Amino acid sequence: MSIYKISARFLCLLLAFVILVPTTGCGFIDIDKRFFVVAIAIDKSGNEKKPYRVTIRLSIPSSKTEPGMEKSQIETIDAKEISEGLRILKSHVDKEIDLGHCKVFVLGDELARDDITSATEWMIRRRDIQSSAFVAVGYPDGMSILKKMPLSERYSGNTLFLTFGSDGTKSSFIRPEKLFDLFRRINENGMDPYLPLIRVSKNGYEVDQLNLLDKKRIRLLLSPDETQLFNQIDKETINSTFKTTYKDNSVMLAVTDLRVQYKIQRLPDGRGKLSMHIHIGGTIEEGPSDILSLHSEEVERKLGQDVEKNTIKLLKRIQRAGVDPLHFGLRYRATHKSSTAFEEWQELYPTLQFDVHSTVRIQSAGRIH
Amino acid sequence: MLQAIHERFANASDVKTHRMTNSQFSAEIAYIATLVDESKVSELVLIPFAKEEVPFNDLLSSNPNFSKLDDSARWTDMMLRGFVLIKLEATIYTMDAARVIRNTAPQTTVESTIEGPQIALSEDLMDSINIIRSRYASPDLESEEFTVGSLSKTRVVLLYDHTRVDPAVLDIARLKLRSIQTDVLSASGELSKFMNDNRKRLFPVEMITERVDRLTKGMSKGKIIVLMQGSMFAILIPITFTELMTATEDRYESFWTSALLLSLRFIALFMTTTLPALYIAVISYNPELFRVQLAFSIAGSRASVPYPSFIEVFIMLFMIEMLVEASVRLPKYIGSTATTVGGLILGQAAQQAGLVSSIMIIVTSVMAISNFVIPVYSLSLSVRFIKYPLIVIAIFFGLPGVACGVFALLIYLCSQRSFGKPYFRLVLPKDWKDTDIGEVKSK
Repeated sequence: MSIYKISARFLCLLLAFVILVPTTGCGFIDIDKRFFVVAIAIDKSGNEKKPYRVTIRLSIPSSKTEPGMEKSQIETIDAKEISEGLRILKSHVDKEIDLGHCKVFVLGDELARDDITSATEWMIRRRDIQSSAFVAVGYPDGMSILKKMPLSERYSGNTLFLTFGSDGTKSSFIRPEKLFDLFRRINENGMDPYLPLIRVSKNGYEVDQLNLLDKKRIRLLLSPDETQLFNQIDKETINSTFKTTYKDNSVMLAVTDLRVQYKIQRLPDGRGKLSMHIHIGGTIEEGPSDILSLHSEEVERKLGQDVEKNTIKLLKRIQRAGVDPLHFGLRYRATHKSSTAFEEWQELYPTLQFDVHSTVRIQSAGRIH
Repeated sequence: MLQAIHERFANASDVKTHRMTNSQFSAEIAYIATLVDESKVSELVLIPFAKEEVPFNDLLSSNPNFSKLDDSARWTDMMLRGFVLIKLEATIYTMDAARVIRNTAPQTTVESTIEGPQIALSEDLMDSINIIRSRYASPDLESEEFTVGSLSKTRVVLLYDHTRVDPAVLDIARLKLRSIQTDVLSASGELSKFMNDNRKRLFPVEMITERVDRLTKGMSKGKIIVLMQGSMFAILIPITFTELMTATEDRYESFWTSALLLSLRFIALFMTTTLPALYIAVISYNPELFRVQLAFSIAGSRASVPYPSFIEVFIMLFMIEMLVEASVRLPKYIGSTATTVGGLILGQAAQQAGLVSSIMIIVTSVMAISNFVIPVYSLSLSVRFIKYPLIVIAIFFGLPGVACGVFALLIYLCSQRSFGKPYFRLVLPKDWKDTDIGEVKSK
C-alpha cells in the first residue's frame, strides 16, 4: 500500500516536470553568449530578386561603460524575405542573435513610401520582438541611421531608446510610435498610422518630423512646427510652445495647461462639421518686458487667432492628404451608432468643415515684476 | 490550608506541601519550590521546628522574618512571589524565601534586541522556570514534568496557562513527550525533532527561543512552553510561520515602524530564496526581462566568465556557505578574520580572476545578508536550504520553472500543521482555539 502511495506521488512529480518542459521556451544560452540586436533597419535593395535589405546593429557589451566607448557591429544582407535575411545573418556571427532587446525598427524612406505592411506583419508575428518596440522611418535610408554612432552613447542603441522612450528627452517635437499601436492603426477603421522621421545629424540624430501614412504608405510629411502642433492637439503635450508676433516682437508662450475637446456633427445638409475647442494656459517665455502689464488681453487674443489659424491649416492639410491620424473616424464611429457609421464617415471626411475656437490665458510673465 | 492550596495549584508539580509534627505542635508548610531558596526554608523553619530550642509559636511571633497573613485570598499571590506559607494553630504566617537569581544570569545572545529584556533563559531548569514564573505571576500557570532519555534522564517540563491552552494541543504535546525513545537528550533542537511527526520537515513548526518575553507572550496566547534541563532554549508550540518572521521588538515599536520592518523581512525572505534561481533563469533564458542598459552591463561583466551561469552560481554559493559555516564554528576572535578574508578578499579576487561576474557577487551578498534578516535561526537555516531546489529547477526550466517552484513551496507551507494548528495562516481568528487540529491525531 505504502509503496503504491509513494509511486503515485513520484509519478505526479514526474508529470509536473514533463509539463514544465515545453514552457521553458528557447534553450539554455548564457547572456554573454547572445548577440543582442539593438536596432533593425529594413530598406529596399533595388534588386528585383532580393527586394529587402536587412541591416542589424549588434551590441558588443564591455565591462566598462563610458560615453562614446560603446562598440557595435553592423551586419547587412539583401534577401528575398526579412526572416530569411535574418536567418542568413545568424551564420555571419559567432553568437546567438537575440531580438529580445531590439527596441527600434527603422524603415527606409523608400520602403515606407512604397509599402510597410509586410514588414509590420513580420515584426508583429515574431515571438521575440517586443510589441513595445519603436518604429520609425529613416532618411535617406535605414542603414545610414544604424551606421551612425552618436557621440554620447554609453550603450549601443541607447540614444535611440532614450530619444523615443519617456525616460530620456521629453521633446514636444518627437512623436514616438510603438509597434502595437502601429499595428492597431493599420488594422482599425477610423485611424491611420504615423511614423516619426529620423535623420542623421552631426553628433547624433534629428527627430522632429512626422510622416503620416494611410494604411500602406507615406502620404504626408509634417514640418517640425506642424509636428509640435499635431502633438499638442492629439496628446495635449505640455512643455511645448505656441508663438505669435506682437508689434514686430515674437512672443513665445510655454504651455503649462492644455485641453483639447472636439465634437463631430452631421449637419442637416449632409455635410460634416468638426468643432474643436482648445484651451491653453501658460507663461510667457519670450516677449517684450511690458507685455503682461499692458497688453495681456491683446496678446492672448493674438495668440488665440494664430492657434486657430494654424490648427485649421494643419487639419485641412491632413484632410487633403486623405489620412486620419487624429482618429476622428474612430470618434465618429464611437459616437454615431449605426452599422454603416464608417461608410458615412468616409463620405463625410473629404468635405468636413473645421471650426476651431481657442481660449488662451497667460498665467504669468515668467518673472517677477 | 494544604487542601486549598492543592486545589488552587491543581497541576503544578513544583508546589511543595508538608505536614510536620514535633512534641508540641503540628504545622503545615507550603511553597513553590522553583521560586524559593529551599536551604533558607530548612534553616529558618524546618530545623528550628525539629530542634525545638524555642517554642515554635514564640519563634514565629518574635522573628521579624515571619509575618501574619489573615486574608486567605492572598495565599496564591504570596506563594507566587516566593513566600513560604506556614500554618500553626489556625494562624497563617508568611516568610520571604524568594530565591535571588544569581547576578550572572545569561544575557540574550542569539536573539538580541536593542530595547527589549536582556535576560535569557538559563541552562538550569529551575532558574528558567523561576524567570518565567516571575514574569508570569499567575496561579493559572501549570507545569508538568517528564523524564526523557533512558540514560540521560533529562528533566523536561511543560509550562502552560491552563485557562488559555487548547487541551487538544496539550494532549498531543504530552503524547509526544511520553513516546520519545532515546538514550541521551542534549539539546532543545533535538527535543523538537523528536516531538515532530515528520522528521524530514523543511520548515520548523516550533519556535526555539531563549527570549523570556516571547515565551510569556506566547503563553498568554495559549501556547505551551517546553523546557529542558541543560539547554538555555525553550520550545514554544504551536506557532505560525509569521511568528517565526517577527522579532520581539516588533511589539515594542510603533505600528508603522514594525509594519515596515515586517514587510522588509518578507521581502528579504523572498530575495534570499529566489535570487540565485532568478539570476540563472534571467541570465540564461530570458535576458529580455532586464532593461536593455542593465542587460548590456551584465553581459559585459559576464564576458570573461568561462562557465555557464549555474556553475558560476554554485561556485559563489559554495564559497558563501563555507564562509557562514566557518564563522559560526570558529571562536569569536578568529571569526571576524574569516569573514574579512572570505568576504572582501576572496570575492574581489574571484571577480578579477574572471571566475564570477561582478553582478553575481552582488547577488550572492544580497542573498546572504537577506538571510541574516530572518529573526529565528532555525527558520533561517531552512531558508538557506530552500534555494537549492529552486536553483535546480531554474537550470532546467528557466523563469516558468522558478514561478512553479515558488508556487509549490507555498502549497507545501500551506499544507503544514504545527501540532495540529494551521501553520501558514497569515490572519488567525481572534481565538487560537477556533482553528483546526488537522493532520495530527490527538488520541
